Amino acid sequence: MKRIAELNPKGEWCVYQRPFRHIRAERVFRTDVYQRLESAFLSLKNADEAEFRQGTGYDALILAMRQNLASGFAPLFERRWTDFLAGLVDLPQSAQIDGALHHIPAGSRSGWVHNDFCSGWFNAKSKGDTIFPDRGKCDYFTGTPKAPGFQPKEFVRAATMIFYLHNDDWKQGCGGETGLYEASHAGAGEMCAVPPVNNSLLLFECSPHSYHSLIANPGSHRNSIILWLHSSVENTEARWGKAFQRHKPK
Amino acid sequence: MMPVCLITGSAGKLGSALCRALTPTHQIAAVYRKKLPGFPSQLRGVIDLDGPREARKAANVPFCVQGDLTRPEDVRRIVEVVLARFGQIDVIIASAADTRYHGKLLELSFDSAKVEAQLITNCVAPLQLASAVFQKSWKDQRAANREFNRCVVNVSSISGLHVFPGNGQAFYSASKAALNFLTRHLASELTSYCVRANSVCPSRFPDSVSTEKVVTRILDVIASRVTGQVLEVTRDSEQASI
Repeated sequence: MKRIAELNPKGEWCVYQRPFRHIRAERVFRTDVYQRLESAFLSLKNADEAEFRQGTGYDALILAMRQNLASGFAPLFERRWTDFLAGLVDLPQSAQIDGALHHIPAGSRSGWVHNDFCSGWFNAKSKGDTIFPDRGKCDYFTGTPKAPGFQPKEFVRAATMIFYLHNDDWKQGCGGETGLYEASHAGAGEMCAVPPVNNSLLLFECSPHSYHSLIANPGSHRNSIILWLHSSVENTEARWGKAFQRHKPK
Repeated sequence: MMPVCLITGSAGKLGSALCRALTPTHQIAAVYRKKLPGFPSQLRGVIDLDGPREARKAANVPFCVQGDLTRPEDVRRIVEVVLARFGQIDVIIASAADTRYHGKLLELSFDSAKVEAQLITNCVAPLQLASAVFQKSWKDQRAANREFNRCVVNVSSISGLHVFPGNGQAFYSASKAALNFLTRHLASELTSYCVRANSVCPSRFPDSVSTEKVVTRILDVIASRVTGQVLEVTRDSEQASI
């Protein structure tokens, strides 16, 4: 596995097997890299607050990542990073990625329990080390073209990474953890709550079992950067059959 | 062979501290109900980014077993799994507890189902666990029981020894008082099998007494030969009185 130069040599990376296999890391990046990521997050949040949209049925304010914004968050949306993550969860490497900045104001409600295991549509003609969905020309979830001549190609979300940052005031009891569940509703089976500690990371393969949700955060806001890796439909079906969600065109 | 210690409530403050403290000298079976313990185990491995993809730091990591101790079938399964894994159980530390307070008795503001669940968790389940280990292992092993100085340590509370009025902890307090008496009866029944049983009654930790002090006290009890004792652990209590 090729080590990323920006990683903190004192970082701790652990793999957990329950309630589903996932990886957590603390002290992920060197301090200078973490501070740069935090500055990039804050500058976008403060300058383009209007661009942060509220998710449907979800209190999070979300800014979808784009190719022209991604370079400010190196190495998070670079191919060497996505290949590194793919290696950690034993996935084939792929250029198709998606991402978002999440700001969850204090007092937000819990999100719904979901598994992220769904298809995502990209431009079949796009080339490059990393390829983001072109949301202006195609609906990411349904593949419905929005521009003439666009050739959508279906991929499937293969892994989710959540990097927590700028949560200086967070402490136990504030809420805002990411809940991981054994089943599709929070009350059943085992669960664990991953705290949004600065410079920590959660990574898991998207699968029929990767149930997770935001836990309500009465005590403090929560900020994070999300990255989704994708896999071809063929690879996904070889791993999980047809158990991923295909959203119907509106 | 290192002795085997079965610890309930292993994801809690005290349970985690006990698992960490005993790992160098014992093989640990760490029982948890919902929350996976935070320490390295077969369910939580450390990744060496420079080495093989997934390497666990040490061979002797606690072995986690999920189960609900209020369910007799889970108790039996836990004991069977631990015996299958390690071949023996030498120490039981029952640190799982329902610590909720249910309000004043006179106001009847408590939920009776919750009260009953608390009594089962705090004073019935530890005895069921000890009984299951006895039936499946200790019953016919008097010599090994003596050799491994086998024992049960039930983690009770200072609330099981004294009445602290005004904070609605009557049922919690009663469950711990019952645990103390049940432990003494257990000790009496186990004596002829060369197995000891004691309860440890700490003040509220870590604010009134440090978790480390409670752990040290429990380790002292395990290493000792005392049985049938109900031992208070407060900020001022003597460490080496046993």
